[in-house]
Amino acid sequence: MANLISKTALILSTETTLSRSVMNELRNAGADAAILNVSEASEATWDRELLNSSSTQTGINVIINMCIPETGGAVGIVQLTDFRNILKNSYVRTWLALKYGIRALRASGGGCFINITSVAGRHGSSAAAARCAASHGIELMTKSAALECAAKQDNVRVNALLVGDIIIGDHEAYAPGHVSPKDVATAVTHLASDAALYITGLIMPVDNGGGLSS
Amino acid sequence: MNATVNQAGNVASLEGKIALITGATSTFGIGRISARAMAMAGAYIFVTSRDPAKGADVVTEITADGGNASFLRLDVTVEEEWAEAMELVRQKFGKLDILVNNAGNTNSTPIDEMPIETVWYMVHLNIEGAFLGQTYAWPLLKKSGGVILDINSGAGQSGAPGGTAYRSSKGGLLGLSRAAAVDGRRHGIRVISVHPGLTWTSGMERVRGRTQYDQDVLNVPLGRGAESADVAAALVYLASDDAQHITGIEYNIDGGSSAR
Repeated sequence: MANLISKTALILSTETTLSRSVMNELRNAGADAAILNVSEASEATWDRELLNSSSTQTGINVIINMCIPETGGAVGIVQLTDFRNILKNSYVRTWLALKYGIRALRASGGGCFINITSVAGRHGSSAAAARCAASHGIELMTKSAALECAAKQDNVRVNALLVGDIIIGDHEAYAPGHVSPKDVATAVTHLASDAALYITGLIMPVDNGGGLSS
Repeated sequence: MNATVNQAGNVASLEGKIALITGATSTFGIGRISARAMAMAGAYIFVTSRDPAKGADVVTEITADGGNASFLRLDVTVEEEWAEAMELVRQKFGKLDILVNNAGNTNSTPIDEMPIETVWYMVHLNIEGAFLGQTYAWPLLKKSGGVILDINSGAGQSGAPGGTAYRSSKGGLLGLSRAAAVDGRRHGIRVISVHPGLTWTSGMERVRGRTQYDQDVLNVPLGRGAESADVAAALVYLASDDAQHITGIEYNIDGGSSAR
């Protein structure tokens, strides 16, 4: 079990089974973890919300950004308004989370930022135009942000998990491409810990080998 | 101008095909040179951009080459203009065989100095522009079993400092191209993501300049940058029936850069 004792973690998400599972796993590893839902897309809001979160605690060491986009439907069918809205809620929102999240992590001397997005953009997926665009965009955004931080030697690491279909409930076995919230939470906890201090810019599929079969 | 030659030793033909190319009027950009190359291969070209004066120049060039083309004013970020453009194509020919989503722009501002507006601009132009093209061309491409060539970049396959808006938008475009390739299978629509490496274009001249560019190309395994004609030759081949079994791939035209 990874050790996150004395680390403060912020999970940028609405309350979901996945975000609660990640929070519980981080707490089990010793972190002080909380879920924060930033609902507005303005820079001022993000700046204020993350500043407030840092100042009320001893600083932030770990930020987990939930950004699994909705599918959006098939090319030729999905409308621009829906497509754009999904990009706004995942891709653009992730950029804001990165900009102000990195700022907060720098203020506390460094830390780890983890995007949790979809594996769909890796190989393409049917009837998922917006999900594929947004998630693969987030992959490149993650890498660029990681390299920007590395060049500044600011001790901020930026990584991403690409998750398959999240299956809620008890299962003895999972099909390729299916993962449990616990699988994701365990990977998050590892990347957030000091066991992963040399790891940045990593795009890590957590999809039970789903990508191998496509 | 380079020609593309198939296995039988013949130049790949686009005879009888109808093509629409966005961002096709930059002085020595990939779109403009590709428009001329595709016209020389026999396709009818809808040259599109926001600049009618330059558009007229490109049509004149193509006509002088012995090809056929007309200009359509099209800002790829405006949905209504896509609808009108495709309606014109439908009225004139009733089909479209080739869509080249070429219009795009670049940016390299560090994340902590960049405003959100820049991120949206890149989304609108580099992702939504291609999305709208795919969407509005889809019914016409279904009829002809056509092909979409999404012009991406080596920058859409790797991160770099200053890339959180531009490189991520090209990454988003790559994800979209893959989604469209999957959705296109049952309609016979091919979708190919094209990744030019360092290419000497009007945009490159503006953004990097010749001195920096000449320095950059020293790192290319083949020891030189690409010309727009290198990219145009690839597009003629990919759009032709010689490539009818090719879809869903990333086609790199980068002198070996991505092989490392």
